Amino acid sequence: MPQKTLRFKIHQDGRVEETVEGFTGNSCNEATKDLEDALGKVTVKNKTSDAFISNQNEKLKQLNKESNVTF
Amino acid sequence: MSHFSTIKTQLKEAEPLIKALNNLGYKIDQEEKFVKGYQGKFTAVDISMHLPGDTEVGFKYDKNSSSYELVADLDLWKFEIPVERFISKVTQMYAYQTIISKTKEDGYQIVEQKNKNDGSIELVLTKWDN
Repeated sequence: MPQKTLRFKIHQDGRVEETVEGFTGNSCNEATKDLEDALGKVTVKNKTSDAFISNQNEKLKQLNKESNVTF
Repeated sequence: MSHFSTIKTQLKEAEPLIKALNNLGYKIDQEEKFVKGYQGKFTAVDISMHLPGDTEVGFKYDKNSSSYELVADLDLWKFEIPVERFISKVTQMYAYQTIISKTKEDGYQIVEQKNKNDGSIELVLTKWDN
């Protein structure tokens, strides 16, 4: 059973960035439609694949490792 | 499939707006339904309150934009933060309240909440599928 994750960054001016992860097919759109309608106007919407996100995470981890400087 | 969205928050509903105002520590006047607005004209509002520094403000529902708009006499604005900053703060808290209540209804739990240095609030919520 996959875990569904919602991430939000609520900016000082009230702008909300939302990332929705762990849904299959188009169900991610339905999952947050009510919330998006309640908040206001969606100005940007991009579909991402989970594979892409986890690849990015791996890359970031690698970068963090490489840039870890100890004094 | 996942998605990434950016949403411009609008003050669409009274309930989260009142919650946001209370959360920010502003006390709502139940009685007063008229507030001095543009050019000192008394304007009927849906929500009214006094800000510290004796600044009276209200929120009025605007049918065209389907959202609440601030009513205040800017010549009499004495509150410690500028009006633009005040609206931003209220809008940010409104977004926070809306997200918290809607996701709770859907069975999500907060696993992380951070106030960032840039003034933003970061929230992570999860739910196990069943």
